Amino acid sequence: MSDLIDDFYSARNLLYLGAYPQALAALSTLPPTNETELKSLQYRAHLSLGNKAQVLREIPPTTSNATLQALRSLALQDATQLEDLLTADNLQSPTFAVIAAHTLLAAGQKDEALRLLDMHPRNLECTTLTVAIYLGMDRLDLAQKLVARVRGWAEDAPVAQLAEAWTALVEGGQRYNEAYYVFMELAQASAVDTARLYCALAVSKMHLGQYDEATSHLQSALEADPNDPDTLANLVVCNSLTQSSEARARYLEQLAQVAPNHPFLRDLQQADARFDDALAAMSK
Amino acid sequence: MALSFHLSRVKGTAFHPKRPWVLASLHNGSIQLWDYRMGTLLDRFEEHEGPVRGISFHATQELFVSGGDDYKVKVWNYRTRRCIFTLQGHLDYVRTVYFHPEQPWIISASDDQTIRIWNWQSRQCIAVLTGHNHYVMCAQFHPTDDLVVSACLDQTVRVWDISGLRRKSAAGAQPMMNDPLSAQRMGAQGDFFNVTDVVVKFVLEGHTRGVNWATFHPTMPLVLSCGDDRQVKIWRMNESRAWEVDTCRGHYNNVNSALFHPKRDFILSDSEDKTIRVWDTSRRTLLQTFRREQDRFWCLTAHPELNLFAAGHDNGLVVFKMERERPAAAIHQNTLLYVKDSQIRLHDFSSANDAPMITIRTAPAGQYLPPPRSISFNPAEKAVLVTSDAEGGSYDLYSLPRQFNGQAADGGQARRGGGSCAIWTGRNRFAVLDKAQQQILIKDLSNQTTKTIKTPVVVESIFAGPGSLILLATASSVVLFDVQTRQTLGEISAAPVKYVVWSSDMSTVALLCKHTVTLASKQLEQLCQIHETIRIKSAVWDDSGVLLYSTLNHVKFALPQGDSGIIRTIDNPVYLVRVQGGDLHCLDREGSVQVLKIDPTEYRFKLALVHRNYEEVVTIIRNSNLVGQSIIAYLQKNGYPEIALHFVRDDTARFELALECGNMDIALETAKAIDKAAYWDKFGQEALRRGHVQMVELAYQRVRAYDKLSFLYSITGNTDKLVKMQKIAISRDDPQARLQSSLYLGDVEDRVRVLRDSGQMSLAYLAAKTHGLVDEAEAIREAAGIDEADIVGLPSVESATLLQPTTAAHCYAELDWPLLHVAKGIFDSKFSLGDKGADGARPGKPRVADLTAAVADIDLLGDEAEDEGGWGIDDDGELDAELAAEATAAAESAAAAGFMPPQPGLSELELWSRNSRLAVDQIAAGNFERAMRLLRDQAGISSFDALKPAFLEIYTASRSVLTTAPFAEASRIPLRRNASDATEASQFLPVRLFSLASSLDQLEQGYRATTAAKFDEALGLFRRLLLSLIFVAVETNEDAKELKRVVKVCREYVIGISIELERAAVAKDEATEENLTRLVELAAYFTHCGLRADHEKLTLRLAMNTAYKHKCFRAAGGLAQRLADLLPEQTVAGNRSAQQIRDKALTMVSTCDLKSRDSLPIDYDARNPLVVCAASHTPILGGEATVNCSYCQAPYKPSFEGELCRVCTIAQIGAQATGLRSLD
Repeated sequence: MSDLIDDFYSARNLLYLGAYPQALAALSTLPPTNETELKSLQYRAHLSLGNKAQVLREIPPTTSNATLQALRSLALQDATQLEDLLTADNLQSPTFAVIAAHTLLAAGQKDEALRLLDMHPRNLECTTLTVAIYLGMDRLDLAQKLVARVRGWAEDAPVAQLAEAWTALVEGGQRYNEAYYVFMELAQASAVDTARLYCALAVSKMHLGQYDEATSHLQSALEADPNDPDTLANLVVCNSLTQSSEARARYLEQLAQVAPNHPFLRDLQQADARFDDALAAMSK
Repeated sequence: MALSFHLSRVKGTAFHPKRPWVLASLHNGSIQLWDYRMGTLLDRFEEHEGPVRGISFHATQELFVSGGDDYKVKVWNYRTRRCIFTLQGHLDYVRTVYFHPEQPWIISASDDQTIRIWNWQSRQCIAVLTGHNHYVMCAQFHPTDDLVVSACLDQTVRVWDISGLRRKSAAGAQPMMNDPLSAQRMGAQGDFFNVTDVVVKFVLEGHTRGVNWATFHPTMPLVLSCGDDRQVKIWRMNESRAWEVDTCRGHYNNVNSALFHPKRDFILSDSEDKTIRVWDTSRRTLLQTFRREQDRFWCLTAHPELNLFAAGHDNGLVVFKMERERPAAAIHQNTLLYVKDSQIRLHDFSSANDAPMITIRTAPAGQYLPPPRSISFNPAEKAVLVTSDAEGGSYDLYSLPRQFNGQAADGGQARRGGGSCAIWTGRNRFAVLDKAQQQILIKDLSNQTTKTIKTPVVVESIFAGPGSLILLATASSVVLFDVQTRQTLGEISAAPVKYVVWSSDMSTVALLCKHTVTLASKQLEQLCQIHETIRIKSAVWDDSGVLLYSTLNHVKFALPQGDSGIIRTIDNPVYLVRVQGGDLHCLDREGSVQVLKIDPTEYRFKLALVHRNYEEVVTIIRNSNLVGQSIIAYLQKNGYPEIALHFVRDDTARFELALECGNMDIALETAKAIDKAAYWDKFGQEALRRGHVQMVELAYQRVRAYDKLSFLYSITGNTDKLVKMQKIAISRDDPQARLQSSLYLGDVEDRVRVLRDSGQMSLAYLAAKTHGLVDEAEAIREAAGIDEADIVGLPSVESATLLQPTTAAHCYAELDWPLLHVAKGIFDSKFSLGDKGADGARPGKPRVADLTAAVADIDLLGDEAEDEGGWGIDDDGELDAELAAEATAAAESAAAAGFMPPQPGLSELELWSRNSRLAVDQIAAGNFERAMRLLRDQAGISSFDALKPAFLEIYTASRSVLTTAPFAEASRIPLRRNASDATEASQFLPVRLFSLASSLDQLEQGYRATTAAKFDEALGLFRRLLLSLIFVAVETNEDAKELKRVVKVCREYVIGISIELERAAVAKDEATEENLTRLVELAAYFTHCGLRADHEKLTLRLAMNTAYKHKCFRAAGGLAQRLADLLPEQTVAGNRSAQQIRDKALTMVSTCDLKSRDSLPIDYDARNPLVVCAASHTPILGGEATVNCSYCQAPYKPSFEGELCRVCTIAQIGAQATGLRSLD
């Protein structure tokens, strides 16, 4: 337990909950004992806030710090630069592994990312990302196993709870409620109002079939961040399910404006194309 | 034990029935009246000589009675604070005195071996009860029956029947002894008096030593006695006899008094062995003992109504309650969980439903179990922790039933443990405080300790906080502690905290101590602290962030900024649990939920002020009658005079407020209304100070302050007005003012004229001469009749300078000081709106500002664009190549590391596609081609373009969007329609977008549009519905049938409305015979479209009228007959409009029967059954060939086969189809 809780414990939690300004604030008060970790968290928060230019400006391309270089490549979404960095030494650092894995993941290299993460089976960030990847691969079974294992040593660390809630959401059935309560608890414990948390609450409610409550959570999310793409996408889904086509069209349009490259829209475009293909196939 | 008073030895105590008062009669001869809530001495009554032993309040009057060792019984009025009279007659110490609950009687027991009953109205002794042969230690009336019980050192308890006395007093007979002297004389041997009035009913023998106390049970035929034999005895009696029931043994010294608990089955007794003991009435077992170290107990009293007791001892008295009266309660969202009568009950605030959930642990036989102290609720697991003081602090963990049926389930399988506080700190764990070891145990749902934390400070109790945080209350502070990281996150000093109340968003917390409320942020930074002189009982947060709290007798509010005030008073303490609008929900001491009405206006108003939410302030002012001096004073004091202004109607007050906040317009308005010199002066001063020249002028004019006015004109350079002033001065005949004006104006001639007119010849001459007005000077001199030679000492003209008035720097008549332009405050606009109307938009400046801002924006944008341009993005092609290389490398290195990446699993979409045979589920799964094939095979659907939006919507809405890891892409989580019961992958099915229920709603909409004759809208609605019905999945056969019915209804309406629309189009065309024929035909066909009965009637009326109008009588008659058939006689009875329609139809039938021919060649016979071709809108008679749409089954003439259905627009007419599948 104790090795889980370092100086960065609460800042890291805030980062995972989407409370980036709060995370930065928490980091700014810390003593500079572990500069790499501090910087990496700061830059990750900045990246999440969309301050890509700032991060690239502050990390010189020539930096010898592998973690920061990995951050650079993450900012650039350029996995090629990582190649030289993936040395045994560098991979000793779980932070490096997590950042590198993120970069690889963005480049679609799931397997490679998993390999890096697998080297740190007792690091919360690594295991959490692994769970997320497993879920993305439709390997709920693996995710469940990993979550159960992590619970053994991480107890109720918020990051571990997040992974547990994601898994619960995919697993479904009785566990939707549980996911909701986990998100609720995290929101209360951290006392931050982030679009991400509200969105997660809304997703839980959607799975429970309580669309009105989901919508109200989504509205809260929009209050926290009026342009949160996930929230907008969920509003599209929610309004489809409640058959309010005007609101659906409105949010769809807004989503297309703020995040034209959102996976939801990409999926929609692909579906559109598939429909046309299917139509063509039918008329043959 | 609640409250202790240090006095000298207390021999008797009495509670006031209503007020929080207790009387103590002391061994030193004093009687003291205490307020036990505030803990203050209210009064002393010192007239007895020697110890006072008996004391009692009257139930309703402002009286009390005392009896002492001076043989006297004294009756006092506590309001006038004096002894009204003294009853004399006893010949020895008086031991006890009591009022009769109804009769104007006092009973006293004395060492003279008698008991006396007195009438305190006639102030005479009306009975002397003799028979005891030792000191009578106690005598009491029965609360309802005509009985008296007495205890005596002769080892007996006697029960007396006083019904004779009551009969006698009811008959209005004179009391026995008119002469007090004779009464005294007779006292000792009063046997020969009133023998028939009072008779001994029972003599209870059983005590082996003197009996000190005897009392009746309030409702049951029981007597309780105790004595120097250290025993407490219970006696039962019936009409004929009384017998000993049982004895409570345990005291080891003389027992001085005992009583039955008024509400529970307890006996309390107190003794010289320095203890008060509590016994179980039914089992006679000792339940509890309260011990004092030093003091022997002498007397014991119960409050007549409340759960309070007073006991007097050697060094004072204690007022205490037997057990906690606060029901343990917990609130979760809209529900309240609380403990009542050993049940956990659930109260729903919205519906006010109240039902028991489970039964919790009750006291085992012969033992005492204190009521629960607190409960903590875990909504996720539906589990409750109940903490009580039993066994030195213990908790029970109960699981609430997931479904409950209004009956309390048995919660017997509770998990139990020791600890003084137990609270949930998460979904699956709770914290227990072990006070002795000073550690906090974290336990899981199975009550296993997972973690033990040593407390960082000495902790008295713990309270829940947000998430894994808890509050540790120490003797002098509260610490915010994270049980996960074991870190102390904050600390605040506070008196021992008894309760903690978090606001609903967990952002602020109220710490309740005995006499203080501390509001703090979630980091435990103090926001404010409020002190009360009396006990604080409970608190609850309003949703707006106001704390409401209850004290013993008030409900109050506290704003986080430190403001507080009283909302209302309450009679008995209540425990607030929730506030919503004007409803304050609370638990009372009986454990029932009450709703108190409160007026939240005041605190909302103050909160809005603090938050500067003036919109809200205005709304509140408008919508409530929030007035009164206090609120105005509050506003003024707190720096909101401009708001106070809007409350006040009184002009003088408005004037003062307006001056205070510098609202000169209102000040002027009110000054005009008041129109008094003092106010104008004040107004003028303030206006001058603020530089409102015109207002100053007005003020001066009003009070005719000519001097000031002139001066004002002179310094503002207003010469015109000065000239006017001069004229006024002339008319006023005020030479002084004229002179002054002329000086201000620099008008020498006028000055000379003034001086001359006022007889100041010499001065006038001097002035004229000095200014070189020689002629004038001469004229003056001559008029004065003085020789020029006589005038000496004239200053030489050469040395004189012309006295010119200073010229004003700015000569604007309307010169007000320039003021900064301030946007009109919300108050000005909101309130003036009604009077003046809205101000027009101000042109000019703001627009310029907008423009500049806009320009700045553009600049900024430019910069950004440049910034981005600076980033060279790698060429994509190159990147791809590198990526590919990277991937290969990665695969190699993965293999090298021995890590085998797992294979992707089966996606949920794939599962859906496998699990379902419904087209709609294939769409959700993204398998569009299969869906299309299914639709084609099942319903012959051949045109899918119209379905594309629905396809895409179904597909996208079947999964939610959730970003998991921070930089990962948002992933999609499948939404299932059978979420609660599907556990196996083979059962998963996608969520349902179009349901039968929502389809029925839309159908209603369509009906409504049809009724309102909005045919275009209705057509659209039915067509859309027809399209969406393809995608409805149902679960039962009934629903599937219903779905088919809805399809049919839609189809018929679409056909019918299409016909009607065509008819409307034809009606607009030229009225040729062909067109008119078509018109009548279409109107007639419209009646054959299987519409709902009410719509069919409408169509029939329309067709009937149309046919009649165009002289198609046969058709009209047939239609009229159908209409009449639809309105059978019995159903239209009582409905006038229906009756009229029927009558009209019948008239039509008879009229048309006479004419019986059609003037137009219409293709319609009302008697022939027909369906209407959906394409050509021509009749297809029974027996003729039809083809149907493969989906909606709309009928067509065979010539349309193979074409696209006109009704549903998607299916092929006459295609081979198996029928649309909607059931899983």
